[in-house]
Amino acid sequence: MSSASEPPSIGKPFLLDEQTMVVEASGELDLAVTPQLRDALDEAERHRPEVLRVEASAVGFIDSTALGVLLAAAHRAAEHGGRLQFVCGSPAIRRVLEMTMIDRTIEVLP
Amino acid sequence: MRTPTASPKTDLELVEDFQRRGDESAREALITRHSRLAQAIARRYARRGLAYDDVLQSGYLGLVLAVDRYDPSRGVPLERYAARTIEGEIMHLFRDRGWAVRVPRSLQELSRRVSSAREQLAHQLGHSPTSEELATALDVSCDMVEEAIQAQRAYRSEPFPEPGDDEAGRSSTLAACDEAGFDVAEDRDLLDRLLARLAPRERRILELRYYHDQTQSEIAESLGISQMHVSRLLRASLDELRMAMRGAA
Repeated sequence: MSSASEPPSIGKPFLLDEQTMVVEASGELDLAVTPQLRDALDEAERHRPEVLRVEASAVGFIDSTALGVLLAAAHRAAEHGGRLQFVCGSPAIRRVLEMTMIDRTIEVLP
Repeated sequence: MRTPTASPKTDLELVEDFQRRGDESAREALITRHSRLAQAIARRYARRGLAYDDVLQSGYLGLVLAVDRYDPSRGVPLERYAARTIEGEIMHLFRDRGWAVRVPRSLQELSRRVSSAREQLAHQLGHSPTSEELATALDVSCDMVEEAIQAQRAYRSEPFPEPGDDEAGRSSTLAACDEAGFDVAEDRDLLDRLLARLAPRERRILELRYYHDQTQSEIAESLGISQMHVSRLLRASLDELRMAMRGAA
């Protein structure tokens, strides 16, 4: 699957503004990139941002392990009064987030 | 032959459409089709003290996991596999929220008795005792023994081997891991369930690496992917198992 199309990548977290940390992701988020995603989110969380934003406009597919990682990060963010935003470019991903009610915990942005 | 107006696709056909052809509408159809299963299981667990919506969310996550990872060649219907992964995710949630801490004292006590009885019986019988044997020895029901074992697992955390980075090193096998202190009889079952969380190809890679002792290059060749990719998937799979294991059964 991942050998075709564009290779998945997770960017280094960066500070967008006073309260927003951004993690950029692209390609297919599957088990092979889940550890990098988890690490990037961990690193971003250490700054205790008000908003932790996953910029995933260029993500075409997200598997269950990556969903689990996002959900866990959202729960941890909530414990510190923060929230997780997911910038979603794929209608299919958006539908899965809705179907699984994950969009109640994660703020899904267009 | 099937006509275009024939009945809706079977689970197997949809799984094939999604897993082999990347058809995401097939994935969605499967999630929708089995969402009531997630709801039914979530309702059962929600009575134990967490909000239904939270439990259901975990249940749905388990359902997506089932759809992503289901391997038809194992001969288990998707529905049954999904029931397990849904329960697994829900149990995970309960543990995350400190459910393990609230294991009833009587159950904790029984867990300890089961542990020592197991050692003793293993010595007497010359094999790892079954739940029935444990139940008889402790004069409790088999269900209670099972529950005590489950409770125990919630506290467990066992190391997994690091993937062998060197091509020559054929040493770090899961079998070696057994010798290194795994309670084999019990943890086989646990390991099986953890492995079921992985996609067929990832499971296959672990199998080739650790049971058939193939090098990463050999595996890469037989699967038609790069050695780098094998290495990445091995590491990711082991990380995944480790995380699941840390959360326990």
